[in-house]
Amino acid sequence: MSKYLIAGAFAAALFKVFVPQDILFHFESNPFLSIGVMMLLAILLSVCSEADSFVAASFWSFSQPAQLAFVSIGPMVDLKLIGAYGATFRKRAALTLIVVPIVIIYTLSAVIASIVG
Amino acid sequence: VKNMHRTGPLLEGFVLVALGLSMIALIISGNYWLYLNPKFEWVTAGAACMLILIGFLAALWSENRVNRSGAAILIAFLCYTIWGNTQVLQPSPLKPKPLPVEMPEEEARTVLNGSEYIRINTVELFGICEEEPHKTGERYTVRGIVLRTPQLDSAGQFVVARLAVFCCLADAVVVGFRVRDDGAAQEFQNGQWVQVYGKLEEAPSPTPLPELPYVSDAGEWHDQHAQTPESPPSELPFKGAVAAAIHPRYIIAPDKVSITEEPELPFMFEFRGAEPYAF
Repeated sequence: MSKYLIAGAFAAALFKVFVPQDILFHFESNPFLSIGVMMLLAILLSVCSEADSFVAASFWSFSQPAQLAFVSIGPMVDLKLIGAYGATFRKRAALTLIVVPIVIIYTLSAVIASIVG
Repeated sequence: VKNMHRTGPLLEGFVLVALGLSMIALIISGNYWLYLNPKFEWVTAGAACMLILIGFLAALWSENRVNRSGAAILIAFLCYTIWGNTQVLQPSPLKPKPLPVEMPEEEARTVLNGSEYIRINTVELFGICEEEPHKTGERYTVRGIVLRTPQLDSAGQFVVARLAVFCCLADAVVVGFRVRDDGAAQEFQNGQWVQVYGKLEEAPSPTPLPELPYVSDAGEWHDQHAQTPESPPSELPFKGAVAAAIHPRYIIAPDKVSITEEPELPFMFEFRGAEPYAF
């Protein structure tokens, strides 16, 4: 499993160093798109769950549902975990562990965004 | 031929032992805190011992079959660890130094001009703003480095911030507060360590938060916001931060801002929920 973990951590490091994060701010005005973008960021950054609330706080101009989606998905699905799931479980179980949290968190965050506005 | 067949397991075992030894060396070198929160030293030491043990067992007992791709990734990881260590240390303004054996327990409060101030770090103060707003009326004192931008200068503010390392440098976050500038900030340069005494107040709205550097552009940001050529600025010890969280709703109204020495450990590693705060 170690090679998947190392490869996942390496990919996360590459993203963090070479992808300018300020491009994310182009999506902040659309509440539904911003939820997806923040979830994607959480998956790619693979930040420790102790720190992700402060990382979310740094995206202060994003809506609160988008920040909530960021801190919710990070501990369940990220690049390192995807590698570990793939190495540990059968393909179907691994896919379920990845897709189900994404769908549930996006849906709930979108519902909250549509209520809160 | 038999000896040649042992080359694979020996190499695999050597790599595991070398990885374990490099982790032990990191702990002994005193550079550990540049990468990880020191509270995890015992975890690293335990993992290193396991790697060394497994490495010896693999070299002595494993069958001739070798997982070539796994071994290749481990070798690459070992090389990257050694190379990364030199790269992180070379351009860094931080001077590697051993952790103090025992940090002295400091007073929870300090007195200035007859008023008592709670010593606290920026992460702990952030927590009070979010979770215990009834405590925002107290007087606090925080340490951090000064961040100034033209945008902040024109708003009559500067930022005092420190790097918080919750687990490792990969998830380190700059955490800070805006400070109402009563003209004092003109004396301070970017990157200068200060201690701010004051009270929290609601930030004037709407005041945009400053754009602060992320990991890849910290040096460039610093160059852009450097002070006058005749006063070369100190460097920002923020290389490696994944994000910068400046509290959006509260601002510090200072009673005093004084220049202070860089703390023995410039990063924040410990966060407490009550007095005495880690400061």
